[in-house]
Amino acid sequence: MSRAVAQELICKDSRLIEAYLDGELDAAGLVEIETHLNGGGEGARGCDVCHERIALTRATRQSLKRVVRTAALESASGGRDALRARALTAMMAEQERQAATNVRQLHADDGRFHWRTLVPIASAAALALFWGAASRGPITALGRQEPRWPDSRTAASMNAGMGDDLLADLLHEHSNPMPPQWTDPSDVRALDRYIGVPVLPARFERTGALLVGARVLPVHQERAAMLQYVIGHGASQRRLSVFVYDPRKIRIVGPGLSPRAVGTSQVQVGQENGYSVAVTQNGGVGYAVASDLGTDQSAEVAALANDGE
Amino acid sequence: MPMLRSSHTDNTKDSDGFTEECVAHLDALYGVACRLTRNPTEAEDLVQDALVKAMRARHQFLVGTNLKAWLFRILTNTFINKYRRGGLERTLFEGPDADPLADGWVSASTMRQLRDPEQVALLPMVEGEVGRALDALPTEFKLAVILCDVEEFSYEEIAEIMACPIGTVMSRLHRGRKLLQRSLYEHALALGIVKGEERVGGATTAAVDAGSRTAPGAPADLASYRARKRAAV
Repeated sequence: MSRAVAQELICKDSRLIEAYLDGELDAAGLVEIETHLNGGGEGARGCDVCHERIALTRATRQSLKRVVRTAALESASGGRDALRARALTAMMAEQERQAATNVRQLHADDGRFHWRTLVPIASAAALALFWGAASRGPITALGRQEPRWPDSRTAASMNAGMGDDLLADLLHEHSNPMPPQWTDPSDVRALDRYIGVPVLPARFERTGALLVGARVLPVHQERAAMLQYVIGHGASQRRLSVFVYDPRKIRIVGPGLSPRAVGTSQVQVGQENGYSVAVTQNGGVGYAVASDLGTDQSAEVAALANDGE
Repeated sequence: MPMLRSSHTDNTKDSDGFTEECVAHLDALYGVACRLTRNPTEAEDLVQDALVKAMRARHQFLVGTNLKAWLFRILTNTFINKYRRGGLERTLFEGPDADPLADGWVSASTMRQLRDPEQVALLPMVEGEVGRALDALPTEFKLAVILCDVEEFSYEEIAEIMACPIGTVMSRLHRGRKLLQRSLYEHALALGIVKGEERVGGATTAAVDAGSRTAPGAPADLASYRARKRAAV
């Protein structure tokens, strides 16, 4: 009676069979299930239905593994390397942001700090060096000029507002980037409430650029969004900054900018301090692209502003 | 939760090693993210978001515990917060859960045909259906099935990732797998890979053959199964 009832329960509730397949049964459970599957001696026959149930569950599991892994590998835009580069960049940016917060905390503590805070500061310095080296390497070869301001400007003075030469200021923000304040694309899109115009980061990713994050920059009494991207990876990685602003409130002009037509778009293109810059407008929104790339590529990125999202 | 226990700075991994170890699980995280969001771009955003959060919370990770499970928990929570404000917990007696899905719903020979179609050319179509059926599962079933069958987490780890009891994990796995197999069966039936089975009184004839009548109350977990068995003795 007891064995018959137990065996019937195993057939009725395949959770036991599943726990067996998942390796979750203890020794007693294993004996019960194997007795059920193979027959308990006394000439009893094993359960064909449960045998088939196990085979079907195993086959489905193999299919699932193939389906999930294959689909994931096929769908990563730009492949696994690009995804890995994007993830590493975002994590490093977060680490840098934390380190910067620690530095600010250090100043706020009026010089009194614990030895443990020195570790993240050293880490931040190393990362800043890496970030800087990655961005400047290719520029040096082209004869990059020194930035207008010393590199030792503090976050406080950078955030105090832009000077009169707005173009040079934006290029300085590109060449000496602070870590992004937001890395989640949906948070970046939500910056429109600070800027007063839509912020659509995805359209600039069509070049293969990957969004690292964004900051809000004070520009006199107004604000602009600075979208930070990377293109490529490893030694050939380049940085790209797209400034989004309300052109009725902020005007970016400069003697070095000359008009150029890219497709149907009108773009102002120039080069300053070794970086290329491209400025355009679309639908009442201003865009300024600063990059480590050539002027042609910056102009093409800026022209994407005229495509739909 | 052992893997989420707060740790001191001394226990925190060095940042570079931590970053690399996290990125080592990128493929697995992205695979699950693709299935959760059903959109490659959103999946990339979700993975990036989860890894940034992991970086932010790395002091909470206890070295020596399961980093992969910890990352999956962050990914799951990020997904819930971002896309499913209502969370994973929902009424368990709605939709597919309301269907008793009695075991023994098809015969052993039908199951044999399902796992091993005679025409090998049909196999990719059957696998395609597995993918579609997986996408159609309620999120909590889909997540449990992927975490167990693809990522091979233990019930205990899945319970920690999904923040639910082990019995609930078993139930979600069971329901998810059952729905997948039923979808597969219906697809195979439509393709003519298997023949339909005559239904008798709400159950298939095969179910009756297998001695599987609808149980008035199926055991919820191993403990209750054993309790019932003891009562039967």
